Amino acid sequence: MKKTAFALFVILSAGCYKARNEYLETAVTDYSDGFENYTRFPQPEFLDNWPGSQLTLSGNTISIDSTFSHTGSRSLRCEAANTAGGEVSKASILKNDLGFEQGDEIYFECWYYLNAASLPNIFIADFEEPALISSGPGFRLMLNDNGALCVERNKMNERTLSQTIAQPRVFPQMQWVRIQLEAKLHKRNKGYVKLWQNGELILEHYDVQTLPRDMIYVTQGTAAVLRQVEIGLTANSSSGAAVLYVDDFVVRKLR
Amino acid sequence: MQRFILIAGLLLFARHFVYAQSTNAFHAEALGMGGIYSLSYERTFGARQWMLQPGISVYASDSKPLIIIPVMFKKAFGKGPHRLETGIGQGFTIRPEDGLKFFARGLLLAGWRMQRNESPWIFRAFYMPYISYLINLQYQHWGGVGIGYQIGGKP
Repeated sequence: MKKTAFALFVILSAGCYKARNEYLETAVTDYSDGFENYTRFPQPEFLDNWPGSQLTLSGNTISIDSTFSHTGSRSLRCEAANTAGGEVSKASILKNDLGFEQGDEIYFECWYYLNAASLPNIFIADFEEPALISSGPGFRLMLNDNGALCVERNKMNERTLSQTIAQPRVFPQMQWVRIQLEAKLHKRNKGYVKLWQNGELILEHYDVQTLPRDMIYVTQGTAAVLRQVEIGLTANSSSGAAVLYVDDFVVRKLR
Repeated sequence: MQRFILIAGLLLFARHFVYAQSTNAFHAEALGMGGIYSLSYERTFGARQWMLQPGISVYASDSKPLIIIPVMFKKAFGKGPHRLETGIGQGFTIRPEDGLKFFARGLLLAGWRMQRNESPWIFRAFYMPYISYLINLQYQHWGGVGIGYQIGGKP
């Protein structure tokens, strides 16, 4: 019996490790998109690059706007009502073929133009690992109670990382805002996160957890790989409706 | 494949279970092998130092049900009411979401077990780390406390 159990253990473990490595061989580690090559959402070319999307309420919309952009002539437009009832309001797109491993340092950049009735609890980017048993744990860019950008890690059972400058910057509305993020990925407290808003370093935290790890039975099957970045109104838990334009998206491995 | 391995594993454990000459006990644990809580049955066999303890725990996570079936193989050391309890096991998870999802984590056990002479009550406090090994090797500190009631046989 011991030999049979050991053989089953080895076969199962080897199979799972092989699947993880095969995924990493073909995963994307450098991607940028100015949304210039699309005319509408969804269209096959768009879905090739952004395989997933979330529109949780009937009035929420995602579209390609050809009249308004940061650069070029097009941008992504996301509109979401405020959350009411049990369903969180979302209007966002997902790039879920990424492969950043523990120890990798990643760079993210995106331009946002926000028009919202209320800023607190608007989420504009999620960095996640869709584990087998969980709801996409990771860290997220969120506007806090003061309307200032922060790094929320609730799904990893970790505290939110606030801005580290003396006067936290409120997220500007009705103008294009450049957001840059640099992070070292780690499932223990060996990672870091830096965040810039319009070129100013507003958040800098070291020795923090940036990748999810298994947590009793609630989160299981994490592989220490950041596989998914979601942008747009990834959650509108504010008290009002919001429209967000997104342009000039970049994500890549730095080191 | 995962479903087959789960069933095969349970049958292999059951083989020992059937042939044992033993006493029985029921346990309730806070935290422990069920994550948050568990209810379990314990069969003691051999020289009453080897134990098999299958259990169950059901709760919701992200508004979806999570069914956990932990199984521990244990051995107690020492004589008298206070004993060292050690063990190794698996926590099998079933989640009804887009069909059925299965996963398993390894469990280790080292702790204190107390049962006074002629008393059916069993008290336990233990360290029980969880070990993920299927996709990525991960170690999580955990522990728990438990109370049990033995049915039949001398303690």
